[in-house]
Amino acid sequence: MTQANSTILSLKHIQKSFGNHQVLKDISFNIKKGEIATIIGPSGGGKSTTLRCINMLEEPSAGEIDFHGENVLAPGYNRNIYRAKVGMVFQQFDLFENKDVLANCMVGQELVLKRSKEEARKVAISNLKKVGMAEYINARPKQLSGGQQQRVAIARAISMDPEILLFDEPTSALDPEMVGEVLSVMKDLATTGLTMIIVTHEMAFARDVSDQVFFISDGVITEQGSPDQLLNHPQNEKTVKFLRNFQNN
Amino acid sequence: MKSKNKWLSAFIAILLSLTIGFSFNTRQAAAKDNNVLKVAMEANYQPYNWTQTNNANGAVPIDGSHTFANGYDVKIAKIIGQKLHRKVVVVKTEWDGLLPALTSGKADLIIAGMSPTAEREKAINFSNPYRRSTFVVITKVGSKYATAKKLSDFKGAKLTAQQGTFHYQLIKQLTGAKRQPAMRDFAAMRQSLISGTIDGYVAEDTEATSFKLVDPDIKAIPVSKMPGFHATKEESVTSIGIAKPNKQLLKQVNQILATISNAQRVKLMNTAVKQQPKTDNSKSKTGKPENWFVSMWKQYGGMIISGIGMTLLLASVGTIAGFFIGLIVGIIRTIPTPTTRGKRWGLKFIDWLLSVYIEIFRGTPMMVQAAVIYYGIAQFWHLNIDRTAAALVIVSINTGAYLAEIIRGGIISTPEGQFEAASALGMTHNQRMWHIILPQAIRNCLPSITNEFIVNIKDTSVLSIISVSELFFVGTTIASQTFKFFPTYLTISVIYLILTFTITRIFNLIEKHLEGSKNYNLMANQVQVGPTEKTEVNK
Repeated sequence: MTQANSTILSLKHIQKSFGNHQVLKDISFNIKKGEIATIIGPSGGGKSTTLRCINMLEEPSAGEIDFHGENVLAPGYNRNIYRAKVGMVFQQFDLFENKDVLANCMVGQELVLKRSKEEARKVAISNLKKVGMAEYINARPKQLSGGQQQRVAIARAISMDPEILLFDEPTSALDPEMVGEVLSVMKDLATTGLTMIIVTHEMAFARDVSDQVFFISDGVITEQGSPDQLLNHPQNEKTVKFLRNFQNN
Repeated sequence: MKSKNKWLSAFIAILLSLTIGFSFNTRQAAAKDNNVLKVAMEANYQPYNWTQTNNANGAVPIDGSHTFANGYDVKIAKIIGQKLHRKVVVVKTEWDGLLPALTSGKADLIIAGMSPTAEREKAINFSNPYRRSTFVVITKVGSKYATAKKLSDFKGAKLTAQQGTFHYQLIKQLTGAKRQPAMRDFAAMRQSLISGTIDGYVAEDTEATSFKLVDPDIKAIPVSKMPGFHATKEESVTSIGIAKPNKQLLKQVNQILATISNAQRVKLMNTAVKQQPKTDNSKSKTGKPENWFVSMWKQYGGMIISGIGMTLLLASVGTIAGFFIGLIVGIIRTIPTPTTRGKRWGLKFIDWLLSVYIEIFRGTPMMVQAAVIYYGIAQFWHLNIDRTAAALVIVSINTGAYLAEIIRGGIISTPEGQFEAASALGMTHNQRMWHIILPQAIRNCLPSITNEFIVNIKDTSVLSIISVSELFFVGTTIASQTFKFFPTYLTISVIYLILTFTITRIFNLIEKHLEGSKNYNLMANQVQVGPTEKTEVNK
């Protein structure tokens, strides 16, 4: 935490239903600038939906999302600008199949941030260097391994100079030997002061980098606290039960 | 990405200039109208009228092609044209298209060996007869009907006649004859007779005379004089058709016909019979029979080449323009539901219109669309559109209807993650579509687009209904003049096969190129990174 403790994002009583099925019942939390927050919990508990609501890939059914104190769900709020400032890294990488590595990292900058081609290229290459993918700028997504694709996806996201970066289980779709390379890139990012919200099952990683950990199950935040509090001394029965699966970590 | 937009605007510019070019043509044609006498005929009904590749024996040009028409009808037309001080141009039209061509103003006169039946007189006016004829049943020498003396002798005979003619009705008077389905033209009936699928067909004496020139093994049995046979006067004469409102022209034509004596008419018909194309006994100068393909190519090569050109033009312009129509329709139909109510209803309405368009053009044969559009526009708006332009428009909108659904499917089947990743970067709907989704959707649709191209090459043959001289139309013309049906259509089918095969290969190469290699060769690509950041990047 390098910056002043100002709240950058706050979720207030977010609810989300798909038909009759209420996935999120009541989610509220604050994220401070520069903070690394980790969301853990059982599958189907609402972790990913929470993250997708923050980026508005899902429209919350009720509640408020404040970004720098402004409600982004209010009508008339420019969502595209907001989305450009809140980057996202997906479980399945979702690199643009029709573009090579460099173009993947440039297209958002050119179209949304209106950067010049030259500038976009410079930013993209410097970020690809950060994730160790600069040698592959002309490769097509299909030609890369999962770990490589995910590193490019991270470079694509940070090329937009986001204020917040969301990670939706970034290592879940990877072969075990590729998990390390992605986590190490994320660890490096965590030291730069970027605000990050990470949905993950990597408990050791969560313990190492997080400032705050949320345990979400059944659509509510069951428990929250520092990594030490939540991961080493969980209070809630559900948290205890869930963490028992990760004892090896 | 800019380069793609440039490409698009260039295409639109070409399309626009084409359209403007065509409308110019139309206007010019309209301006010249008064000096030209447009005469509709099949140019496929010897000895009344036929198509030839040069202007020998005083043939006149056929509108919109590089071929010429000649025959008894043409000779009569020229006399009329001369007296009216108008230059005769032949509008080559299929038999069923003759009346629509006249009523829609695409022709001034029908001189096509047509009889003034009461039914036809409801639609158009007829002049006084320019020829009287007798009826015959044409059969093979040695056929058991070749010796028929009375109408009942045709009992059991499989007989036919040309579609849409009263000849076909006359068969009913031949008691006991088995009436077969009517056929499109004389060429088809001759072929059926030779191959034995019919025992004979009803026609006029002139048809027998000219058929005998190419095949002496046929016999004509006159039925006009047989007891019990009845044909009204209108049925045994041929007259010139003139549009109902054109009373003045009718009067002029009748006056001119009165000046042509019977003796002159017989002479003209005899000349026509002698002049009609005979390719059967073609021999080279050495006296040896020449290879049929060589002689056909010599005589009709030019026609075939221009037919190939027309087919390729129709198929490629149709597919490209259809692709852009399909693209626009596909894009509109995948716009997400807008939030405001007005926009939502507006979009719903447009969506409904587009689905009507797709249903209509996918749900009706292109042949029917062509006839409706080409003759309909002329009849109701009095717009005389160039037939090539009409054909291009028809193929384009027809292809558009098919490709609209294919492209919509391509858009929908693009993985959801591609939409989401683009949204997460803050792209608008349009940016997502143009930069991320469409390039992928189109690439995935490419096999279907290739397929549509191939279909177009073959299916443009139905445009012969509006007499566009594409490959099949040319083939029909050649076959009906040479009576070499099998070799002609075999040649035509080989040409079609070569065209479709070549195009399939080309598209396969394009697909392969877009697919790229499965592996990324680090060594080969390394040069492009490093301190020299100026190196151009392939996109």
